[in-house]
Amino acid sequence: MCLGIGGISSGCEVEFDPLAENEQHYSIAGYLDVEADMQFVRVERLRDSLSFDTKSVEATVSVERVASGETWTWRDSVFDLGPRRRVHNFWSTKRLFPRETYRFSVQGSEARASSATVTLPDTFPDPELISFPPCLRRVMRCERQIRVEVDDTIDKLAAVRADYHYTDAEGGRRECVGTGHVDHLDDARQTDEGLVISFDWWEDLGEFTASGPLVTVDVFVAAGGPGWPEREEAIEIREEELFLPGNRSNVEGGVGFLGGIASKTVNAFPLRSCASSES
Amino acid sequence: MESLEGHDWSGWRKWNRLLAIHMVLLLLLGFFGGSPAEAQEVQVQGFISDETSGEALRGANVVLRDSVEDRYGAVTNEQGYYVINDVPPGRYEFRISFVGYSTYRDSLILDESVVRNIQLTPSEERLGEVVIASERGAAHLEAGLQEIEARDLERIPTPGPSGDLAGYLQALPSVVSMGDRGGQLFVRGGTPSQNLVLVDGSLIYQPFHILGFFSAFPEDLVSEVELHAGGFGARYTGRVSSVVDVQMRGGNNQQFEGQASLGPFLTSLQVEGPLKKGELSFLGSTRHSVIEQTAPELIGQELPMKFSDSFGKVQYAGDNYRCSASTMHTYDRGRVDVERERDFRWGNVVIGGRCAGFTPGSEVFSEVNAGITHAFNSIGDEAFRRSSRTWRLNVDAHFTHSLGETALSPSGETTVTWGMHGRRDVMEYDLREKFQGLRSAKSILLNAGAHLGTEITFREEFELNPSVALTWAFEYGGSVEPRFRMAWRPWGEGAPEVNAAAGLYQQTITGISDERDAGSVFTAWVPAPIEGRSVRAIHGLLGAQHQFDRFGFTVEGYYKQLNNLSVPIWSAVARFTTELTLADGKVYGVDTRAEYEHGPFYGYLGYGYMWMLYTTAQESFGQWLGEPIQQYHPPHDRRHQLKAVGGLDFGRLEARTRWQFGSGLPYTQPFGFDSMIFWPGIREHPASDFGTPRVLFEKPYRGRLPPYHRLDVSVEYAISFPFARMTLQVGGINVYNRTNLFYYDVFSLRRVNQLPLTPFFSVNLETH
Repeated sequence: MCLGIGGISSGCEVEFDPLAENEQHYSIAGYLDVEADMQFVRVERLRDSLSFDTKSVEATVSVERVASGETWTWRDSVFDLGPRRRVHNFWSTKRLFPRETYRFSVQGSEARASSATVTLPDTFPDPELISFPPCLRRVMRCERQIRVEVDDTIDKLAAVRADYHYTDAEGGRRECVGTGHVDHLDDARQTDEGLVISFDWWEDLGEFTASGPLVTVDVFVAAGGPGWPEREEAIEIREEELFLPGNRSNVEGGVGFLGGIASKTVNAFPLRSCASSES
Repeated sequence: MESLEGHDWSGWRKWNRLLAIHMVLLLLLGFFGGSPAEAQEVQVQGFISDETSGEALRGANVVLRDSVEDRYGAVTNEQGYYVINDVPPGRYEFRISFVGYSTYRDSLILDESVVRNIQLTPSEERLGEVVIASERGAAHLEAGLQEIEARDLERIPTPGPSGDLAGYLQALPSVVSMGDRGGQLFVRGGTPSQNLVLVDGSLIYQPFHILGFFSAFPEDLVSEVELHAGGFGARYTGRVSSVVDVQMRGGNNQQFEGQASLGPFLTSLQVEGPLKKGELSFLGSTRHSVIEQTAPELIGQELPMKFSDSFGKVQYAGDNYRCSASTMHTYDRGRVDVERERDFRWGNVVIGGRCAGFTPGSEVFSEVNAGITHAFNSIGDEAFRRSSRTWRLNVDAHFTHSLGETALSPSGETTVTWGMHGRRDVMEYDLREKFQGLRSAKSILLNAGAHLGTEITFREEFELNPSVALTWAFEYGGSVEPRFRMAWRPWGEGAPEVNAAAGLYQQTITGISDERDAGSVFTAWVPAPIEGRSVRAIHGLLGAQHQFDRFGFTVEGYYKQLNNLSVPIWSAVARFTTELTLADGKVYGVDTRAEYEHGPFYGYLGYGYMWMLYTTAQESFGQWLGEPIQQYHPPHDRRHQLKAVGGLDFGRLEARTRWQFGSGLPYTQPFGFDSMIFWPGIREHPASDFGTPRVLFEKPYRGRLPPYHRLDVSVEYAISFPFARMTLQVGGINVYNRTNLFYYDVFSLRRVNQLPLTPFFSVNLETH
């Protein structure tokens, strides 16, 4: 007990560290995409506070191609994703190969290390746009259905998503100012000929709030590797469950989930990419 | 492990029915099986009050003694009422004694029933040594019941010129406070919303101020308090943990008085006096905090807290009845965590009336209360505010039949108490997903009930007090709640006493709060929020006490079982909204108290041990922690408490000190933080999405905050003038300046400390 003159004059400090010690060091989140030109993975030190800053992760991030032992180091960049939303993503432009297994490693000081081992899926043919709307206004002459087909089966379907890019409220500019994502994993049907994706874009508009008129619609399709959860499981998982630490995690010595995917995007309206027009 | 599908109450229901039947039989015996009163036997009854103020005196001994030393006696109740039945006609010495008053003696020739209202004169003894062997004091605990007088509140150093009930309660080992702010008191494991606080018979929801030293019950206004830490009788319904029944005093009906005080924490003004001398009086008081303005100078830091309260009472004292009307208003606003831009506001309005009295010659004493209560509670700012409001209209009546000797108590006494109540509660809340699934709604709950009980005394050795409460809440059904209290004095009066109590309790209107966040004092009142299930509790208490001449000692063990508690679920998502789930709880503990008073010295030492455990099922616990059912110690499970109070009273000069120690409270340890990229359906990508911030927790409440201890002191000096008395007070809170942790904000890794060394100086001027 701190009593006495010393205690009164200087105050009686009580040290306290609320954080529990454990063997989990880093959070790893993102995807290794066999179709992507550039890979991005989020890496965070676990013992920092929620108020993220641009402090260095102070770790070496590398990927090893398990079959060949080839290893290369990823580069670190700070991404500004909004006010007080600056994060560290590690990235690489090195090509990844289908059906290959990669070990993603984060090595910090004092034996702090986390890793995730991911096997990538096979690639699949480009999705084909079968029917699409002639316009994107809610009038009868605008076809409501968007239909996309893939001429092959996908063993483990990871994502089917419609991405609606919209402009600002005035609608005068054609640049995208935001994107609304609508999940259609549940609407995809595997047939003997391949994958059939069909959905009503009118109904999708109720799923998000756009600040202005729609500019383009893309359909995103992704296959998952062997470690990706089954489709039903991914659809039914509850948010509270998903967010629990360690749950559905494939990270050793840390938390998070690194998925192996092969993704492709088809432009459904107009037949050009909004993003490409911006660039 | 118990099933969370709900406790099996069928056994209780059968037992309840049996008990109800036995109660009726007992009453019939009481009414009709007693010794037939002799035709010539008479009755003496009346009120005992203070001569200088007209205030009723509770606990005064009234004795009739004849020439052969046969004694007939009674003790006054909270209204100062007494009745002595079955007195043979004759000549008697009529004697009334009460601690601190000159003994009243008279001679009575009784040939018919009479009413004698007596006013006692305060004696010099009142200011000097007081024998502790009265039924008061911190060490006098009867199966959870402690009677608290205004002078008890004075013993605690309080940064203001007078004591306060909040400070006193926190000096008891059965009461846990989370810190020096927030106004949240937990009694033997019960949460604040499970405590029934009554002011002059009317419910008040949140009377404890945001700064924990103060409540709406300062020493100057309180007449007395009954604190039932558990095991309370059937008169009290609607709460499952404890009762704080506060009787406010009326104004002086003999002369005008006033007082004003000024200090760094608050200012106050109080006036009182007769509207009709000896019969009708008024009392008005208002207090406003000033700590928001003085804190920067006083402690060198901002303390954005504001509170106020006002109280008014008009009281009429008739020959055979007393009536009063009172009103109370409280308001609190401020930040519990100074640096966090989150304002809490709460307030209460209570308007109530009470009449109590008797018909001369009747053995029945009646009391009727009516009241309107409003409370509001909010968190946030004007742009985004979550709020909860509630209104209550209450009418209740209670009747006590003093039957004297009956077949059940051949050389003792039997009283039968019964009553009824009707309540209409309106609850309105706008939670904006604070508790997911509960957004905004308005509920109306009608509740009616009755209680019936008897108190039987056998030769002053045994007191048995079985009772039963019957309540019916529309839409939520009825309940039968048997209660039982007893006292056993195997070696007679003045020797060690054994007390016990047990009972079943139910609470339909529940206060839900986010117990994950120690810094949140927001409570929303809703009727049975999960599946319409009311909170239920079983209490069991067993204790012993002994009052020596100047020394009192008591030890009491207790057990509470709580079912259908609404607790927030645990999730790793970093947000202050949550879903609720059901939990069951178990609490047991021991209170030990010792009190000594001799000459100018007063000392009190209390130790409390408490162990409590909640059991709750949560689907996601399975994936997270391996088992779907989790048991945890809730955040108010303070395992050990040691509290000491000391005082020296030299008349004009008084010194007081209080030291308290509490072991660390449970908290949930985080082991890190990250942002979750929502990968199902690849809806988020690290290059374009920030993700959802999450806190990575260990199992709930497995960590313990550091223990706290604090020493408070004050010294008072009184200066008398011809028509006034000035009291100067100087003192300090946390005099050895310990950085006691209030709570840790895990989202920002920032500690929120309790008050540092806080000196104070105050002045009180009182006319007399």
